Amino acid sequence: MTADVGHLSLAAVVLAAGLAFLSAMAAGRFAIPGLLKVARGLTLAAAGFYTLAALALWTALVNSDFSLQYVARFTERALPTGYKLAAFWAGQEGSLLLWGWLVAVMSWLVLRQEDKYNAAIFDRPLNDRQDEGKRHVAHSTLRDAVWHPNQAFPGAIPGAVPGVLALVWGFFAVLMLFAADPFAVFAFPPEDGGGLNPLLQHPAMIAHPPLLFVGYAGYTIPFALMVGALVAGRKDNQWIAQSRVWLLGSWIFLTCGIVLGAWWAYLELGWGGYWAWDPVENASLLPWLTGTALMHSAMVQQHRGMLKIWNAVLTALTFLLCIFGTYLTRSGVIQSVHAFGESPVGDYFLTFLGIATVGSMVLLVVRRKLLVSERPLEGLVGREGFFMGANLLLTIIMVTTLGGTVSPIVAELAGRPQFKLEAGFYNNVVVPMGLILVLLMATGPLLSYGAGGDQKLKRGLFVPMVLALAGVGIAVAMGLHRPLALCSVGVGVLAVSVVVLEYVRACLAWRNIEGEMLLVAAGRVISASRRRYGAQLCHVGVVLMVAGITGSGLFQYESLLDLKAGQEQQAGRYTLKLERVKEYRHENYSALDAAVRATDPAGGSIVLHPQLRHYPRSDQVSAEVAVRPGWREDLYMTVAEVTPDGLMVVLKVIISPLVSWIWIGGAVMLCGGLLCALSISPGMKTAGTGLPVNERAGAKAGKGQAKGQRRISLIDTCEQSK
Amino acid sequence: MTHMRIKLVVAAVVLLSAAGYLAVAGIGRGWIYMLPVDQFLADSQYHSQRVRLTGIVSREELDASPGKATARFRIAGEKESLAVVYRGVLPDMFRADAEVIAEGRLDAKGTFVADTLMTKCASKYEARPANHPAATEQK
Repeated sequence: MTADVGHLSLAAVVLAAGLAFLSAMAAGRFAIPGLLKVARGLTLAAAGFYTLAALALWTALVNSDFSLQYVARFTERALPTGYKLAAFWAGQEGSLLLWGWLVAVMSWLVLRQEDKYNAAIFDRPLNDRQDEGKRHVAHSTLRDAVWHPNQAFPGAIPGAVPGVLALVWGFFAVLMLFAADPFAVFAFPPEDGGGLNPLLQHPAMIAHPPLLFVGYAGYTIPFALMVGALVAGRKDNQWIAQSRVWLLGSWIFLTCGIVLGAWWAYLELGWGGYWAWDPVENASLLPWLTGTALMHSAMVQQHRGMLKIWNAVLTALTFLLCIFGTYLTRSGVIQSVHAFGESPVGDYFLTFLGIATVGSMVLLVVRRKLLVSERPLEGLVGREGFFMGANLLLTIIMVTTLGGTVSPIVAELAGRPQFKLEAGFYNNVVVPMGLILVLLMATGPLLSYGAGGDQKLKRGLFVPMVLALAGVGIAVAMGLHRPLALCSVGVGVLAVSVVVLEYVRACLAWRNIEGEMLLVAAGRVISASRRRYGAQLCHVGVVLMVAGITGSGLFQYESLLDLKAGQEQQAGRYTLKLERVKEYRHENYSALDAAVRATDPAGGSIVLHPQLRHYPRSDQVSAEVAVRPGWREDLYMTVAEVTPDGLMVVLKVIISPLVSWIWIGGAVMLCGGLLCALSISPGMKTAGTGLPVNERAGAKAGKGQAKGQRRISLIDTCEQSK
Repeated sequence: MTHMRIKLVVAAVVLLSAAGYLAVAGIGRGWIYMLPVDQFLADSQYHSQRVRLTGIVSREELDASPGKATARFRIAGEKESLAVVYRGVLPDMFRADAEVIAEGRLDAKGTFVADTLMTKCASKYEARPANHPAATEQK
């Protein structure tokens, strides 16, 4: 029954995809506006059917309907309900359902939003139908609007957008129907399921996969908008303006997903690290790198009309990398520690990837004249120049990571399959480039668009440079000698001091001009330019992460201790004592719990409880990590062995300096991203109505607008006052 | 070609060559041989260096299980097998017949001393232990 609902829904999605694609294309080709509405309606229907399929799977998971193979593979009766719900994305089939569902829902959201200005264009010719002469004129205008819209219709939606979107969400439905069926049934259902992999039974794992998939799905929208604009032959920057909210949103979700995944690996896998450069991890990093680059260069296109071809390429690349990463990790071409089973899904992904890649390349080449820069580059030392530098670096890092990830395939083709890159490769290559990137990130915000940046850079950098050198000096005095660590300190202090100094200056200027209290001014400055300070906050988050990565990467302490009951042993600066070992039972596992008292030299003491857990359903033993997080360092313990008499424990102890700052940095980046997102909502309406900003502001003229304009001029004053 | 273009190209070339240098240097230092057991035993050039061995945990002479801190076992290829000793936390999926990757080097007595042990575990997405109903059903 559930399986039938699922299968029928997916079949309906495939049907809707075909019809939506055809009607969207026909709408463009023959200028029939009604067909665009049909395509939009079909997208809504598909989103509805996807929702139905998802609900069906969730119902089966919660009710432990083991007639479904998927339910039996990833859940058991004793599993807590939260994990039963999360088992939706524990396997490949469910993940694909989630991805397709998200793409369909997002497609509908973007089309619904665009419908407003479609109506504005299409209503005109339809109302004038009686007049034959007018009709002819109107029709040709309409055809222009749909197929060759020009500046007269800045908001017109190109017909290819719903078409491309339908191809993407339709692809996932095809994939599920023919290669990875989440609704496959057993002839003879088992009594109980196999249970969720113990490693996945962690709160971070509930959120990590869906966050990534929201990010992946979100990057489909800018791709469709870009293809749509190019197919329609549009020269304006509308598509990039419309993409902004999707670029930022996807970036926020992807960032959260990646950081949460690292946090999960740290807390659950028990090796004290958080990033191993495994193909699966790299797969999520690749689109993040290009997506981050795109977010920056998109601004250059919006403000200066430059870097258009670069943005189009990055948009396509980001979308393709989301698909490619999944292909890489699901097809079995790469042997990863995660050893994904070889599945036919790989062939489908490869086909889709091939078509999308070739299609995008052809489109970019054919329409390259639409992507000509509106003005020349005035100087390398300007915001454009630095954005380009950062973009180039991000792209190089992406290519390096990609190269490392596919190196087993290359080695295989070269006849040397035993050649294997280690994590050291990435650390040697990516880390130095990352530091240069942070340097660009630190100095970029000092610059404005256009020429004449050298002076600004010299003036703005003086104090931060002094502070950075002082920071490095203090670090050396405190006994820090590793060059890489000193570089991190210098670059980090530089970046943070640039941000803080700029902010303090802006606050002071605001106070002096508006006569408000400093605290009020501090809030006003941020709310007046949320995008700027959101970005700055993200940059601070990156610096915090760099600190965490440097500390934990270079100065980690690790040891394996035999700890007898009641005995004390030294680990780093801590004295550890095994107080007792206790066994207890839980819903779906039994645990040996070691109580270890850790005392630091200052006299503070804490009891940690690392555990060995046994999951009877899957007969797996899993070590549960115990961590005492701290702003200076984390004390991290895993039980390697408990003797049968329970009198001795073999304990792996790791002391990881500054590692908490990675998670804090991630949270700060999230806050920064959200602050940027707050700046978008009015901009969204701008994109939605298709009117230039000043016209829209004019429509709402009044006191508020006058005040707003004063604000804007004030911010300019602040920037000039530097 | 304008003056600015030249500047731009020079900057890009500098950046790219620096990255290229880093990548080449990184490849030079950041790699290791990953070999099946048979191939490792057949060629003595590998015996003096750090390698990653892939093979199956043999059922015979297995003195290890998850929850033990020392493991002595034989890693088996298609024809031959090799004694391995490892001390540390055993991966959760470690058991007889599991596919493992052991990283370390051969000692004087002909035992492979591993300091890193990884199971080719079912991935985070494809957890399917041998006794799963799904696994038996699909075979």
